[in-house]
Amino acid sequence: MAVKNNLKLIFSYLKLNLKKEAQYKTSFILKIVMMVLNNAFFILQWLIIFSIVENIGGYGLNELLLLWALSAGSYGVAHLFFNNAFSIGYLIYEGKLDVYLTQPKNLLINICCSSCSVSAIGDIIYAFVVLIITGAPWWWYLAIIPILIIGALIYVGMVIIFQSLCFYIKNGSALANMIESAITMFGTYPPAIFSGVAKFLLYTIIPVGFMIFIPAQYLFLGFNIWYMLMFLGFAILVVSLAFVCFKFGLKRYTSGSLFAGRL
Amino acid sequence: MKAIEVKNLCKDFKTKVKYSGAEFWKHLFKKKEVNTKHAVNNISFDVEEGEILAFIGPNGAGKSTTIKMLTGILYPTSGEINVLGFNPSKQRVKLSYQIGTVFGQKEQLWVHLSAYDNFMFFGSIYDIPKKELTERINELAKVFEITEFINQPVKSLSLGQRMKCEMVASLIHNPKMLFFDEPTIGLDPIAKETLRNLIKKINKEFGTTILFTSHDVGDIEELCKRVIIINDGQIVLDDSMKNLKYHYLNKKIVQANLKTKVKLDKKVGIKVLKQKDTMYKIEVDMNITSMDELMKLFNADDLQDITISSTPLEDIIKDIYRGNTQTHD
Amino acid sequence: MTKYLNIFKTSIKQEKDTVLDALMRAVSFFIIIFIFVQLWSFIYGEGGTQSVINGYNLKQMIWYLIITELVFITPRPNMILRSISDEIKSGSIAYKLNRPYNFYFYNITTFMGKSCFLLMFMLPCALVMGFCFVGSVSTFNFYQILPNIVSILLSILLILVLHSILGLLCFWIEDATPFAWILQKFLMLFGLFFPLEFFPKWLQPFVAYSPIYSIYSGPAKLVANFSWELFLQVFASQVVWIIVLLALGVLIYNLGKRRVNVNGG
Repeated sequence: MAVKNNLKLIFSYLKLNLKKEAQYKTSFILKIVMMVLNNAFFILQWLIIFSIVENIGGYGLNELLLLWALSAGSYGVAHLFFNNAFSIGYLIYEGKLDVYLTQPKNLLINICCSSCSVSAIGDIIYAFVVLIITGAPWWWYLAIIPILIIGALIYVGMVIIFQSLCFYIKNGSALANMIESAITMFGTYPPAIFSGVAKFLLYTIIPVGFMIFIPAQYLFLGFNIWYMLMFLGFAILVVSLAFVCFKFGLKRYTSGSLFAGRL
Repeated sequence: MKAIEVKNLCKDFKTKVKYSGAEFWKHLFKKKEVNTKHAVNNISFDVEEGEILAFIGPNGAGKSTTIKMLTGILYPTSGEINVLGFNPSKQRVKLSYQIGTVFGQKEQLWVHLSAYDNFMFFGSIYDIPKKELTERINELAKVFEITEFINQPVKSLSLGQRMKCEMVASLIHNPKMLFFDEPTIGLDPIAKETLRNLIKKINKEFGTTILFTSHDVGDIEELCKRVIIINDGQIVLDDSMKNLKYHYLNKKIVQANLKTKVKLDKKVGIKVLKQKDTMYKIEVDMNITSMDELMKLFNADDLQDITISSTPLEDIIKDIYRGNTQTHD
Repeated sequence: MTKYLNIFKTSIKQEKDTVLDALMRAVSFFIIIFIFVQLWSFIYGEGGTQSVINGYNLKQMIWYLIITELVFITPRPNMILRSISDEIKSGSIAYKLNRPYNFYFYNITTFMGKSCFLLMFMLPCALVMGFCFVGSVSTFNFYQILPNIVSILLSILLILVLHSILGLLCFWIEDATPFAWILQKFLMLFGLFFPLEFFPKWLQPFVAYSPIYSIYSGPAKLVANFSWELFLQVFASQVVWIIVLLALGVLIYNLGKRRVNVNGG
């Protein structure tokens, strides 16, 4: 019941947001097309690299494009459904959570879903474009959907955990933005090039390993049930942690009163 | 029945002391000092069901902080709050079905969408079935007279029209209690008047308990039977409007223009505030003396012109803020 | 000239407030270079510093990437674009026209000032990363430092001039950001990611004579493999491009300025 209720909330926000954005049709479509082209552009980078070496740790052009599909796709899902999660720090600092706090919905979901990025649609489309380009088997088109959603949850969860720092420190969102951009940067390079400390970070605070490498390696290239459970388990862990961190910090929320008081 | 019960409510905000320049290095390794600001300092009050109550006080007095604690936005530092039988910080979601809020300076409407779309959305947030929702919107649209612009994007509306829409949005789920934080801020006199009438109407037609904060004395004079004045996080005055007027509106200002200069005899309760040539400005305390006594001081033939006025409520409230309460006895 | 020097100084002072922003940029600079180091180390394989690809060994390749990324991350070209286009679109440019300085040069010097401040911070970061990840290149000599810095500054100026021209297009078009976007993609692919020698033979002359070479490949190559001959060549192409593009910018600005007067009635 609660799940159904929250899903309804997520989709009614999406509907409202798209309705808002679709008022400017040309810019709406332009944003999407530009994002698809933006992602497609990087194929050229890899064409040149793969003209030098045949493969990087078993990843050829097709496998690399699959990484791009997962990375752009989960990034897209995150920014389409939960775009406001990326500005939580700002909302906390500026005291802009008030409206959400007076509404009878799960606070974190209510906040995260209340804005959406249109270009994220382009990212999701690109994921499927890649599947077409690489001639993926039909079931990948279905399997990629839950993987993108779970990947997006890991991404958003991690960002919320760091954004919640803003309850405690003024510039907390700087760190969150760093994690956010690190995730987008690491996610499009073959996993074999990372080792040691880097690898450790990629499976902890910059969870690209769980978000993208594991699904690419073990769900698409060679299915393995244990890795699927790890993928799922990590997502549950991060999301629950995000809820806990946010709820814990909320007690310190000042609703801008702190600054009004200084005037 | 009591709609709100508040006991010994406190809210502290802590800020770290920041040093600059040489001071910074001196204090670098010491434990940082913490400044505690008692935004709300041990206040208690009750609100009856169906009442309209105003919170007034200067900027930073703690009125918004109090309202935010009552609505579950802020966690209190200590004290007890009971709003419609709920504890706002623990039962925030349950409470939010029962209350509506309008924060004058923070809009909740989506400005790019029409008011109608907004209402439909807020309806779905409060889980109102579609049929019931459209009926409710139509009813409120009639009461608030917003039918003609309900389908225009909110950004194209005037501030007064927007405020009406904000109010409709806060009433969409038929709340038992409304919180308005500075609802008339920035509105022109006519829009203020309409809004005040609507607030009265809401209170009468739906029996909604209303608690609001305001800077505007007009809001208070016209709307409420009871006023709470807050300053420095404490309740300075909690009284009925009638008493407020009785105790503080007891002074009349008389401006008289006489034909010739006269020496006025001293009398208890009569004070000459200003005298310039034949112009006199005199304060008369009506609790002690009366207008007749003042008139006895002049020769009626000397009077060229006379005006009698009450001290404006605004000045009285300013006096109360400053702790200048000796007029009370 | 002193007028612009003062504008330049003031904008450096203002920039002191954005230390946090600089820090963030330094971190993402580090992350990108870290990824590039991992990637290219893998590509160069076991041979490491011994193997040579298209005339570059691993050390030279990494230094090349550090310098191109430095030039990429320092000037914040989208800001000059936005600053110019916002003033044109909002009409506030009308108030700037009668001031005793040229609006176009004002913007370029302001953002050049900002960039130089950021460069004072980013350049040490770049050097530290270079020495930590791969160490100095074998051909390194101390006398090359000055020419290197000159070429980096000129390439930053060139990026700003290029984007300012796009900003001036807003006299005629609604939004110039799509053009900036396309420009940046070209800059990335043909300069940021790879040296000239990595492209197919038929493509190389096109890249070599474009401003992209003057912006990225030129200055980066000067660090990776310095020679005075190369410096003169890069310097000449940078100066020529700056003069040509500045002249174009002034021309466009003067054409566009008339439209403001017409609108103003």
